[in-house]
Amino acid sequence: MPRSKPDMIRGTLDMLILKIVSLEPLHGWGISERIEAISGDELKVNQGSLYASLHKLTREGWIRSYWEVTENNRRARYYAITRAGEKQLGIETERWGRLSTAVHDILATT
Amino acid sequence: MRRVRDLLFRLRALLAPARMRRDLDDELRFHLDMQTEKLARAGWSREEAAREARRKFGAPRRQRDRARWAWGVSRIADGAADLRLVRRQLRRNPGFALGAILTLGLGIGANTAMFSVADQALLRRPPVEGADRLVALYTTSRRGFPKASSSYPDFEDYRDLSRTFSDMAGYSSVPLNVGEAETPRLAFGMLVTGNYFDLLGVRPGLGRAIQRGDDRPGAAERVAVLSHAFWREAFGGDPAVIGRTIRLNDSPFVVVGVGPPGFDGLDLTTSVDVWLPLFAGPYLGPGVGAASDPEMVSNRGARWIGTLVGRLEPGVSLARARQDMDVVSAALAERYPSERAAIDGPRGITLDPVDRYLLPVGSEDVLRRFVFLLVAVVGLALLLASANLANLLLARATARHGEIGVRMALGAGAGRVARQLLTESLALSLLGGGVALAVAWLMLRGLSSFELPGGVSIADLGVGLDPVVLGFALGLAVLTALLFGLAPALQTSRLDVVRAVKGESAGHAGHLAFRKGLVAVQVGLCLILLVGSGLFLRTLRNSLDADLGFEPHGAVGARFNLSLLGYTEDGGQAFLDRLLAGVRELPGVEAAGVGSLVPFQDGGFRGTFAEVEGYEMRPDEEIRIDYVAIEPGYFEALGIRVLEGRGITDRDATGQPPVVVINRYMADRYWAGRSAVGGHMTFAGTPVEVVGVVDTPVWQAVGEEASAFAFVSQAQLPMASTSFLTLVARTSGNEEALLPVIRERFEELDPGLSLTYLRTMDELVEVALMPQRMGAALLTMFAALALVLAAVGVYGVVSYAVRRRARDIGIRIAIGASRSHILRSVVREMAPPVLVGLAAGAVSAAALSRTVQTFMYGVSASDPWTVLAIAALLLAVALAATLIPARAAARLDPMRVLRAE
Repeated sequence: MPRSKPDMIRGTLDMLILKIVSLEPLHGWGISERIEAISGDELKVNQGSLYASLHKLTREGWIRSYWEVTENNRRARYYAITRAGEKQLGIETERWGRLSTAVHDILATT
Repeated sequence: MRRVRDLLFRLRALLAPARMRRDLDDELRFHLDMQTEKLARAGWSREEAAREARRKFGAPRRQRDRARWAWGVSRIADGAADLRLVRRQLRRNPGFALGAILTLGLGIGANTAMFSVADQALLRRPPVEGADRLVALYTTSRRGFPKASSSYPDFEDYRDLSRTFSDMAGYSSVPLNVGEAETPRLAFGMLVTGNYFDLLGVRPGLGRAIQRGDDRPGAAERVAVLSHAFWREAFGGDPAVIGRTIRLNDSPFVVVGVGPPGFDGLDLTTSVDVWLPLFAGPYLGPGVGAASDPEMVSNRGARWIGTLVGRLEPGVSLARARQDMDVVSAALAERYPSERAAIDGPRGITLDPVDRYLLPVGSEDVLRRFVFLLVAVVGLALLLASANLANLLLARATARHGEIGVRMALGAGAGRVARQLLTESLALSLLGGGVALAVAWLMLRGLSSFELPGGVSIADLGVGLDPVVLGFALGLAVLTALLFGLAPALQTSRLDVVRAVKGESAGHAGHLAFRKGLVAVQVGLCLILLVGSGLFLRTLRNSLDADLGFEPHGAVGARFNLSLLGYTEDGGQAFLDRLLAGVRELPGVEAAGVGSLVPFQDGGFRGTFAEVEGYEMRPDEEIRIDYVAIEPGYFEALGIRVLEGRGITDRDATGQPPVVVINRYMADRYWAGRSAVGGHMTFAGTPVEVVGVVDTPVWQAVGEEASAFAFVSQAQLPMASTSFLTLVARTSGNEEALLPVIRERFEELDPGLSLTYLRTMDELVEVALMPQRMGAALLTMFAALALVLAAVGVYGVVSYAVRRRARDIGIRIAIGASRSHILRSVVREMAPPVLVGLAAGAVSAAALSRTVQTFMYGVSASDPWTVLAIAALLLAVALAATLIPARAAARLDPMRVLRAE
């Protein structure tokens, strides 16, 4: 049976991005690498969705962006979480927790 | 706070899109590079790594678009997509687009042009202070002349006895020959009372205005104020003109001021060039008529002040001022019974508001009615255009149900589709607005060569594309779009997607009824326009065919004024003799003469009273006749037929027994049953002999009422040698070529003399027929358009009805209905809207006929034959437009129709 990589569940990408940049400011590439690395390559980030999501979050005011030079001397746009973003992350984490418990409960029903 | 940031972000995305796009590109490139590096580290070759990175990333453009979507500019992007779609739609269906755009453009453009003209002619306010409190006053003379001049004592009495006016001024026009300008020229002078500028609240642009004290009775200061336009035109706008002495009718005047820009008096047709004190007349020579009479200050009978203008006391209505002045005129009739008497009772006082420019006296009604007619014609055309547009848009919406259904099935929201439709009609109406601009501009240019009744030249009105009118027209275009774009758009929300995709559009019976209603409206409007056009065309033909009593073709006229240059009577006669001798010598010239008046020329009438030997007058009867002073050769040059006796010849010189030639009307009326030739009468108190009878030429308008007319010898009438004269010459050659030669003759005799006009008699007649010509041209144009639109409307509705019922028809044919039966049923379906439209149109045309009767000649405006003939024509066109799709319906192959389901 082919091993299928789960698609990102709608809406979860925003939450994951918020989580990642809440740890430290990071550029888009870094965010996608970090997500894939932490999930043990279980989650694949669609590049197009990534940037659409980043810009949407910026517009919402949950993250802010600035240009900085990377360790290997390249100019990159870094994203950092804002106070509103942290609050939002709290809400999302809590909601996700409830949701996943509920889903798990249903699947575990015998 | 969030909202503000959100807004700022969107604003930035909108305002600095280039920067944001660049940043995004940089960001995406960085990502690609990093990916490539990662793959290279994992052992890929550089090239392969780059390719793989790009593959993984997907199309850059698509990623960029997705990111931009998140910027919140998608709505605008949708707009752009809408526009792209509109362009595609219109390209795919150029006939519809062209039809809609032209319909809108013509309708709105014609209206813009006409409203601009109407606005300038009837609605413009003179640039004076509180125009709504100003009233023009005239002294009535006999019946039918309610707006005649007043004498100076009249003016003083009106001013002093009235209790409703805070102040009153007066003005009177005089012809001027201006020397010391860049070239000698004729100018329009206005004698004004000292309080004229004050009362109007007009402040001079330069120097000072005419002021109180300048007009001391009997001894006017010799000062002049130039109008701003005349100062620019004749003196190059030189400020040093203040204090300079100029010669007016050969008499010196000091320029003390220049009027403010845009002010040229209160009258629509006359723009003042020079203002002078009221009593400057005696310095201006006999050419200014009664204004130069030394007795004019005290002579109650010398009525020479053309218009009085008063300012109402605060809170006084025009009606109360009228009552007040009625009291004044009654008091004056009692106090001066003989001076205030007129032919049909004591003189009264006529009041007119000055909240608009004063229209030429005697032509107000006909001018107003004519402008109303023009506006009505284009208004009808606009209505028709709207009906047509609505029909087009509805037909199109129906035709597109299928397409819209597919788009909605694919997930387009109803709002999105509705917006798309609105964008489409908005684009159409804006394009139509653009066409309208061009149409309006072209029409105004075309119209500028026309004259309105009363000698109101459209070019002189200075009609431009009025920005207000233009804005209004564009607003109208947008409104039309919203209105007719919305109807189909609203339907989409109720659209049954499944049926639409299947090509069934049931449930539009109401739709069809509405379109039939539109057809009725179109047919009705079309009938009105066609009837109007028919009436004007018949009038024009009747006018052109009418016997004018003279022969304009081959004759030319030149108008001039010797008295303005100070010619004495003898000097003037010598000038005329030399002029006539010179002109008669010219090759091709068959005859030449001079008269104080020629047909189709404004003004110049002179009247007097006569007594006819052998004619019993009733006790209260007076014989009032108009007369023209002429030189020998006048009848021959104009081609006026001498019916009996002879014309005026060289024999009728000064000192010879005075003679007159009368017109046929006068001979028939006062010498009924006798021979007029050899008869005797008194003319202005002098006994004269009638030596000839001539045909009655038309003086002002074809179809005018004939009146008693006499021709006297210029040489025998000392008082007639003044004022304006017209030279007429008849040539067997080219009239146009004669014009410059005649001008040379005048220049040889007196280089300082300016001609008021020099044109062929054909041109003069043409100008006189202008309203009829203009009415005929415009109405015919719009009526032709209307006919085409109505035919298209009928055709469209019938094809729609037939298509909608193709299935029914197919079944009926299949079960044995004959083709003629089908044909009849379709025709029967269209009969009610067409017949209702015709009936409504005929009734409206009859109701409107009263307004156009003034312009008719030889045909009644409610002429039943015109209406019937046009109704028959329209019926035939409607039938033809019905039969084409109906026959197609009757030829339907039932099998194919039913299988298509």
